Amino acid sequence: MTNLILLISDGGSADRQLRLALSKTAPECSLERATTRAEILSMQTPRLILLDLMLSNESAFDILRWIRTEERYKDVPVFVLAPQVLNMDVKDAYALGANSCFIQKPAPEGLGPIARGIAAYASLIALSERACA
Amino acid sequence: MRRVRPVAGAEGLRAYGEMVGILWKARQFAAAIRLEQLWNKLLEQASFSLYCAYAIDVFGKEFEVSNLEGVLCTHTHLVPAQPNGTLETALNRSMDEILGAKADALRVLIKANHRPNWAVMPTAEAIILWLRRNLSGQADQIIARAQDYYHAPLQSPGSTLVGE
Repeated sequence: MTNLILLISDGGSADRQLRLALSKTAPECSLERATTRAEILSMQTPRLILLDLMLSNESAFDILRWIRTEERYKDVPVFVLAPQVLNMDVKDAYALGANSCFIQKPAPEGLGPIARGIAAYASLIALSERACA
Repeated sequence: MRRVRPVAGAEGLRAYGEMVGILWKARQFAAAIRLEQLWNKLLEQASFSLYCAYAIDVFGKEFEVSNLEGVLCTHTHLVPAQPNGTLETALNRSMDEILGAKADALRVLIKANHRPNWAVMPTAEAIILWLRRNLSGQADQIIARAQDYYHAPLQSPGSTLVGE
C-alpha cells in the first residue's frame, strides 16, 4: 500500500493546511484530492481517506456508503470533516462507517491543530504498515 | 415509581439499574442494550435519574467501540468506578514512550473527535476507545504498558504519584 492520503473535497483551506502539516510531520505521506468516484478510482488505494461532508456535486453520504462497499477501500479508515456541528449528519456518517469526525471551522482557522493530528496519525499508520511488512 | 416518588427528597427520585450489568457480565449484550432502551422510554414518561453499573475492564479487548456503541448511545455520562487521573497519566506516559513526538498531536486529534450521540466520558476512556478503533497496530502495546503503569505507579520510574 502507498502512503497516499486521499482528501475528497471541493477544495478550501483543508487542502493547504493538510499539505503543510504532512510536509512537517509525515513527509513520507502524500496528499491527493478528488471530487468524484472516477477520480477516486483512478488513484492508488490510500492509507487514509478524509471526506468533506460538504461536496457540491455528489452527496458525501453516498460516497461514504460506496467506499464501505468497495473491496479495496473497506478497511481504509475514513475521517469525516464536517463544516460545523451538524449532529444528525455526523450520526449518519458514523452509521455509514466513518471512523472519526472532526469539525472544520470557517476560514482562516479551518482544521487548525487537527491538521497536525491527522498528519501524525497518517505517519503512525504508515510506520505500523512498514513494521508489519 | 408512583409509590415511591412522593417520599423522594428534594433531590428527586433516583433509580439504579442492576440488571443491565448482570446481563453484560453474562455477555448478553443485546439484551442489556434493549433493557437500557426500555429504561430510557420510561425516563421520557417519568422524571427520575437513572444510574447503571457495568463491570467492564477498560484495558480488556471487550472495551472497544463495536461492543460499547449501544451502551454509550443510551447514557448521558460515563463515570469511572475509581478516580481517573491515574489512568490518564498512565496512558499519556505510555503514548509518549511508544509514539514519541507524535503523541501530543494525536491527543489533540483524539480530543477533537466528535461523537454527538455518545455519553460524555473521561479523557482516558475516550483515548482507549479511539486507539482500539483507529490505531490497531499500536493500541495493544500502548494499553498494555498503560495498564502496567496504572497498577504499579509507585514502582514506575519518574512517577509523580508517590504519596497519593
